[in-house]
Amino acid sequence: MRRNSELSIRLRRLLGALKFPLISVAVGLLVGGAIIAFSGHNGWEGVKGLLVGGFGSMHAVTTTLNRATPIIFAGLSSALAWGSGYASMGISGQMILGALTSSVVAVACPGPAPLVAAVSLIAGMAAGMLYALLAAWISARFEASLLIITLMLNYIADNSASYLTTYTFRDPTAADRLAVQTQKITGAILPRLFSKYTVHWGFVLAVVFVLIMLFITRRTSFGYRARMSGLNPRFAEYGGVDSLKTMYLMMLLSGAMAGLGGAAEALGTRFRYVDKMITSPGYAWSGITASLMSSNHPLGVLLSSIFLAGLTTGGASIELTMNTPSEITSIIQGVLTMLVTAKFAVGWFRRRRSQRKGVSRDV
Amino acid sequence: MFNIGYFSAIVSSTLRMCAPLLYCSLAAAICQKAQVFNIAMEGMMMASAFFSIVVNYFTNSVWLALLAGVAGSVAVAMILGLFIVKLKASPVIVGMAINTMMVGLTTYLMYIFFGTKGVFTHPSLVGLPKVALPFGGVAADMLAGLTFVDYGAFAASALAFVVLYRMTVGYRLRAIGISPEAARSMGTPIESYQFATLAVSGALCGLAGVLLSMGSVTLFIQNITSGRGYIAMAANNLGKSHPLGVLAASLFFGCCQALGNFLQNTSLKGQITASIPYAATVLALILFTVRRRAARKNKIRKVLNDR
Repeated sequence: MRRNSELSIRLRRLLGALKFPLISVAVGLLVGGAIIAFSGHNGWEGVKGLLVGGFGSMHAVTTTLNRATPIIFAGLSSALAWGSGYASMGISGQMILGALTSSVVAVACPGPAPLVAAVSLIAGMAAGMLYALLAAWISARFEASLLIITLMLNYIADNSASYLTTYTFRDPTAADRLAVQTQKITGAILPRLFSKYTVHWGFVLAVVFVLIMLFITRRTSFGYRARMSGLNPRFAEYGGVDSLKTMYLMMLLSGAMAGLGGAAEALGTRFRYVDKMITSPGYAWSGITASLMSSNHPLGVLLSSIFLAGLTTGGASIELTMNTPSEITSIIQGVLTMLVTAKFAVGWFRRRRSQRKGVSRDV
Repeated sequence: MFNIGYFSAIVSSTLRMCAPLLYCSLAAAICQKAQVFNIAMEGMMMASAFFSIVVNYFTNSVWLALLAGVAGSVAVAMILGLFIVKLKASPVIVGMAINTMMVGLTTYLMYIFFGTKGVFTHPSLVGLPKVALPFGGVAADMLAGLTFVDYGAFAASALAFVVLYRMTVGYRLRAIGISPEAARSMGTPIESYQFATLAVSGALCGLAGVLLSMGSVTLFIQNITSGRGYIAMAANNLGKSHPLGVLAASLFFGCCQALGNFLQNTSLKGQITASIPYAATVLALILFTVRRRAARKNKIRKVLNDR
């Protein structure tokens, strides 16, 4: 009996946590449908096409999981930084450097393939960490806004990676002379899970890190401290949390996840660094959206990342079948993000309504 | 080595690069004064640049295009206001969401209207009219190619100074930034002030967007703003949200962009020169703090010596 009620409380809490993301998803899809309808197609068919294209078949699901891999890493990275209160926009730059570093190391490093793959993943992770450390250091040492610094560093990373790929590490054997990409990684790759589908071991790695994150944030004092300094920095400081140390640590971990995400994408999907391979699909922003949708909960990050990746796969599919631009995905994602952050909105409406009724109630 | 023609070309390019930045950093400055954190200037500019080109294409009227651009930008500003002023959502997230959404939306609509996703330009599009100068010589070279909207940016900076520091509205606005509680107890309707400020910032970003798509070139490119909204935030930081300080900071960043564009023609590679404005922003923010710290130290030393 007692057990039963405990279960129902947990269930209700879960439903409560899912309410806002689900409403936001529904409204986001509605807006997406309206825009598809505006462009002269059947809106209902469009939304159906988005979902079926993203999740409707084994091929769609595995493509979605493949696409979700870098987004999960970006989402974890964002959950680490934003969840502890640091407005870092630097995930994109860290992923770029992670991807470039790992693909250069994977080609240059001799040795047995699995070992080289591991070394290059770690190298990518380290690159992301260093870049995050740079941003954290500039921001802490010179009292500059972390937000602006990370945004600027993203542009610098993108341009530098583009420069290095064009002039230093360019693949001389490429059939397409215009392709700006590094040499193909032959041995040290993340192999596919099923030979027919694109989803690779990077996805398993991402799930492992989700579980590690879950353990750290919910079961260790370190995770507790970090969460506290995110919720209320002054209280955390009063309680003896060294906020500067926490910031460096969280930024380092966030950079590690981002760098690893870039590396996994390079080693598992592209097998090389291709110019703009991180920025043009907008992995970093999708990751931030995923962590917001789930209030930085690791399992939520996993699910929302897969959902967002599914929208992207679906968007690409309806671009082919219905000739509607795939950018519909980023519009839906934007609407969704805004609604998720405005969850206080519901509280506001409720308060207003109760004020009108003359009932004062704390919400 | 030093060539007066080269110099005046750089000055004219600096002024042209500075104008949109100045509009945006003024927008950031007034928003900061009114305690609204506006990071959606990128999205506002993009909306304006796009809708002005659309209206320009269908009507061939510069004025209607200008109006459409400003209206589009103000509409985006109002959406931002709804979310962050009324609904108290996180301004950083809503702003970033608007920015990424506008990239998607403008690309989507560009494909629907014009059937292309990359660059759109058409011979029938009309650019903003260039101001004819009554004098010639070096001074005219320095001001070459400026439209009246470019001049408007500098006028807007002076106007912002007058409104913020010499008028009652400005005092009230600044009071909100200094202490919202005090402002509220004085009877200032804070939310209305914030909405109005956002509307004005939307109009300013709208003018910036029109300059990007119809100023020195008349076209729309995917992601036409390329981070100018963020650089404007840095300029606002450096200029301490003061209209004249912001003017100086925008001139500096405009100069960096102009230099970046000029060095493209030399042996330096495009990716390096494209990074110059962003690297300059980081360096400027660092140096700003270093100098401020040194000044603080000197002040303390002076006080101690005077004793």
